[in-house]
Amino acid sequence: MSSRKKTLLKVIILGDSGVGKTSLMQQFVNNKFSHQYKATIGADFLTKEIIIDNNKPVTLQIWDTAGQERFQSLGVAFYRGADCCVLCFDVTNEKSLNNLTSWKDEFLVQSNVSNPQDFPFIIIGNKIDVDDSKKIPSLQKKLHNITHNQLGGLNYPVFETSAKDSINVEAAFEVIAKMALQQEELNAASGGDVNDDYNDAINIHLDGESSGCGC
Amino acid sequence: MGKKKQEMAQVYNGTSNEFIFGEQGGKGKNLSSFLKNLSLTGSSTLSHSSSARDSVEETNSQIYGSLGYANSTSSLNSSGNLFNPKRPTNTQRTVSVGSGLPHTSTGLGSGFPERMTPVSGGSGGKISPYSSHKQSQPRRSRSMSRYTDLDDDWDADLQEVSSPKKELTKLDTEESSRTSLNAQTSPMLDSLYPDLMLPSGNGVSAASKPPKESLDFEDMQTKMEINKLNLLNSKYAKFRKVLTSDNNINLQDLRKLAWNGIPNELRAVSWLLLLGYLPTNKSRQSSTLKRKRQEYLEGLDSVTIEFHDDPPDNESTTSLSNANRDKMLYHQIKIDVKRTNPTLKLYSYTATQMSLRKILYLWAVRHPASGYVQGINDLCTPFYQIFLNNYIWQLQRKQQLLQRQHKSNNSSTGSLPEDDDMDLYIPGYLASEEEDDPEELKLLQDPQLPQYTLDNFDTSWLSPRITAIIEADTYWCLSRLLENITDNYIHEQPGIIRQVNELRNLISKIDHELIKHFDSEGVEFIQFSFRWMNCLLMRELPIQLIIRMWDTYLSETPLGFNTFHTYVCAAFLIKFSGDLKAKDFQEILLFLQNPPTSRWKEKDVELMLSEAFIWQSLYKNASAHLR
Repeated sequence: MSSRKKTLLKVIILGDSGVGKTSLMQQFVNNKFSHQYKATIGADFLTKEIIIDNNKPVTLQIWDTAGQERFQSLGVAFYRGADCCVLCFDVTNEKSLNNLTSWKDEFLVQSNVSNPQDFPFIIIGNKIDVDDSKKIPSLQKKLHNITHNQLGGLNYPVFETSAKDSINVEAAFEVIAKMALQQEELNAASGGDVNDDYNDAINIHLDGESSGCGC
Repeated sequence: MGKKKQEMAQVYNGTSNEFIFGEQGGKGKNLSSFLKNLSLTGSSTLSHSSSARDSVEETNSQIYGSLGYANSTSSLNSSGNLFNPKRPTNTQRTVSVGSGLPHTSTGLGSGFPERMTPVSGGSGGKISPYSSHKQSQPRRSRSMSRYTDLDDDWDADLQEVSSPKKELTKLDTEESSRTSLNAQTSPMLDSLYPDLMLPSGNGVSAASKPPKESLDFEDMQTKMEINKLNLLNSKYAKFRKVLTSDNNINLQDLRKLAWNGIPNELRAVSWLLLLGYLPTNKSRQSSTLKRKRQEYLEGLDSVTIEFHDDPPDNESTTSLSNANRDKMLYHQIKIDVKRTNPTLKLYSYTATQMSLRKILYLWAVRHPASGYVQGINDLCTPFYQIFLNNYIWQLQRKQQLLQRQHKSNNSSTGSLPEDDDMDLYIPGYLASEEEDDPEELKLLQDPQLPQYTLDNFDTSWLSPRITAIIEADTYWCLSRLLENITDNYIHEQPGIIRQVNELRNLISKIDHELIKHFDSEGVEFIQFSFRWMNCLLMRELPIQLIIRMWDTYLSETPLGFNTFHTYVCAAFLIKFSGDLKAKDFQEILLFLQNPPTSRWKEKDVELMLSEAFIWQSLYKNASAHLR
């Protein structure tokens, strides 16, 4: 990737089924909202070129993944080489909020990023256009609890968006792009984004077959 | 190794195509040894040894050269298309057909493989029964004028004239007894008006044709339209014969016919038979269906979830634990049903959505190893659609009968005249006299009924009785279908992973250039073809075309949703090979995510199916060696 002139940033969008991942991406990339999106199968791919910071053009390659648990084993194929991961939940669905931690863990296990401790994550709570009565009660408190206690105490940026009314979507992706760019530069500096030895060490699926000692 | 070489030599030296397409139908020893060797060579290409690849190319060109595939681009790999070239050995007896099908032209049954067997050499050998069934494509006309042959059997041999004729007369009478379609067409029309055939008829039989009058375009169009109807009629008649001629329906015959597409009216009953849900023995059909439908209803009763139209959506706020898996499952199904075929009106009705929810939910709880997986919602829609369509068709027929009875009325008995096509109906759809079905009566009195189609029929008009029947039939057919691809939906989806790998292997044999391009761009097959497998291409093609594809899938043994589908995916990908080779990573993925298929017609799908068929015949036993 680093051999190309244009900077490519790979972004992964994760979250429970139906929280609006596809809608967010469509709103960001094509500036449109539709009620007619089908459930994503596997992962969808979209790109957008934007300019960030000091007039730096970057291309975001966004993978919009399927929310259903059954597809999680696919992660290995899609998460590799990611520069930023977006964790989405639905502000009217508490379960989707509670699942953020497991989405993050799943991503780290499958993506083999070289810096799991400070890999850039960002949290998006979607559907803020919905009536307040339907929203998760005392959302801020619960959200704070999750980001500070469960997600490793790191201050991940949080955005509350509406893909439907196009609120905060642009802003969120701008931050995503900046964070991704930092990560990309970090990877480029450390000579490639994937370390092969490290890969093997945590790929749990190889355990049964490898004859040598994994340690 | 020495032995292998010998075998290879055997293949390479063959100057006629008999080695591959000989009397053994491509299943002979020579073919298999050839495939073995080919696959051995093919596997070494994975190591990117250029010399190995060269040898594959060489091999291919030799082999296809010997087949008569005199490909102008010299390498199969570079064109990725088996079908451009002519096959000289066959053309001499092949009346040209299918103008507008540049890919297929001649040879191999105009792109409709007759399962290889009947493709005889140039000597004009016997035509197997297959060939007389295979070209029932309404769009394809024959340029035949020497004899009257109702089935569109353009390359039937003249020696065989007598036998089709016998069958013909039979078909004629049957056909004229049909009431719905044939008002304005004569079954003999195509022989009376040979000019109606597509103007491409300049093959061997052209000489014997009467000189063509110059027809203006409109005239031509009308006549082609008539001709199309005529062919449809003959197709219907053939199915009718298989479905009604015996108390025990011959599945083999049905498969042969259905491979090339099933007429709309007979699709539902044919699918039920092909799936093994409806017994071939007619005396058992009604009772079996009754029992199965009852079983479905009992299954629903045993389920604890309440299928509310709009249940309070508060599980998210109340159930913090995973205690209620059923609720989560239902929630998932609910949100997916809502976004199933969102552009089709039929799926926006609450009644439709309720039916789909029930079907999917019951299937999921009955199959805990896989449970509900996104994409299965897509797979049940073709069934739902064709059963609903069949009900509408039966209603329309019954209304016609009632009207006729009303007109010719007053004479003697008040009983309904018998419907000629009565035994083509799926039993139980129309309410019997004992059954009380006010909704159905209302529909039968609706003057708009003849205009109803899937596009404008509101499923809330259906009675609970028929709703349950359609649901039950859909449920059981979906179950049958999924039985064949269980591996696709269990943990880690090994079936899909295997198919994706097989697809890659296939493409590496068929279109090595494409693989090289994908590799250099970093495109992985899982990135685009996962969905092709998970949803059986339903996201890539319009549903009417999917339904046509399933005619063929259901006629394959074993059912084509597994192995054959992989070959179809290969054919699908290769359709775009030229485009793809000019694109970079991003463009490739964006293109494949939204392939330009919105204007595809049945003939595009049929071409793809026949390509898949040929590749399956060539490579099926070879792929094992690659692992």
